[in-house]
Amino acid sequence: MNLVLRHWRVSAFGYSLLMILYGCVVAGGGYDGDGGAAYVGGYYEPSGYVYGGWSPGYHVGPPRGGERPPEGSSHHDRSGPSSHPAPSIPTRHRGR
Amino acid sequence: MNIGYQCARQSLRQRRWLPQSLCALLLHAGCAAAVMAAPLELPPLSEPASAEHHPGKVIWVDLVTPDLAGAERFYSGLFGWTFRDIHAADIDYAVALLDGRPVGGLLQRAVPSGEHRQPAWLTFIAASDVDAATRTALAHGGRVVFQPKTISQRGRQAVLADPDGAVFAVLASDSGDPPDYLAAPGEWIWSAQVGRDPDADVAFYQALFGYDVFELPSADGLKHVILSTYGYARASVNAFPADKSRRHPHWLNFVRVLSATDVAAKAVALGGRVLVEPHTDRHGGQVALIADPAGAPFGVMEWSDNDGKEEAK
Repeated sequence: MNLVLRHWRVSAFGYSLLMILYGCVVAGGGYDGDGGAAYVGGYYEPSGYVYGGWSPGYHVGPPRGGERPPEGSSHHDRSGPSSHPAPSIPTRHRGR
Repeated sequence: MNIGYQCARQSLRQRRWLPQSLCALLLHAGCAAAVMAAPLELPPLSEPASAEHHPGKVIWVDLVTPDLAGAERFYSGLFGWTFRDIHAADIDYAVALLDGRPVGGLLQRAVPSGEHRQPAWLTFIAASDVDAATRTALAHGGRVVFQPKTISQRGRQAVLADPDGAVFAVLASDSGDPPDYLAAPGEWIWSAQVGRDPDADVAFYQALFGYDVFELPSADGLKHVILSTYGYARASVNAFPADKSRRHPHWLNFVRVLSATDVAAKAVALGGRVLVEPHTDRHGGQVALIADPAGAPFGVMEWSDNDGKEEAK
């Protein structure tokens, strides 16, 4: 009886220790993690800045396809050929 | 004899009480620690898993908000989204669904006390190798906001800032990327970066994702550039409006709507604000910029089925 009890206690203690160690190791590994090293979806932008304030001609959307770059536009590496119009977004419908 | 035996048993029980209680306490604490430390599992991006990979495509957005319940009410009322709540340890996260399809995530996060911070939608761009993208970002003037991390079922992701300071995330989805379909009303259709130095930003994003770039003619004299991969426009990079004061480089994401005017009015009725009134954008549809009740900005964009050319793919 004493032997069984002693085994139970040792096993329980060992298991508890293992779980606590596991908790310590994994605690910084979830989606959270305020330590900064872990990935946090909890990102906030600085405040006090203006969003918007666009003039009527300020366009940020995609082209419909067919718009060509302006004359003398700067060239970037791997720019689309100037003879090619800017592409549009995917227009294929889901399920077709 | 019998009394002596009972006394001995009682004494033995008392001696055992302390170590047994300690063991039980440790066991309980250990289990609790394990449960609290369990890593958060997020649903896969693509169900069923997709074999498609589209580096450079915006494939996910997460809203970080101090008021999850308020955000759910607002976006549910505005776009008809439903929510699947996920609780793990001290994390409250909700997956937004439209017709059963995941369209984004909402994360409850208190604004650090004593700080004034702006809630925002975080833009996730597909990358084939998040660690390599992180190194490339650093080599091209970017900054690591959060190091690469693997999220169970979701994939590997990191949060970065471009040379201008606009924050975005890169994600290598474990379940592949969503296929290239036209977004349905209520789904995200477009993303735009707005910053100080479009040339530097375009070079940065090209280095990360291998974009083709197309500078577009503009009526406002400011630079507007389309980033594309595989023949599809993925996002735009735009110079700040002429008045640069009190502006912070940022990404903006747009939800497809049937009427920007109606949605803007509804947003106000639900407690939001209109930052940019509905107006016609270059594709001929209306766009508007809205802030949700917590202040997170996002866009809405009309896109008729006749907008854009069907491309043979």
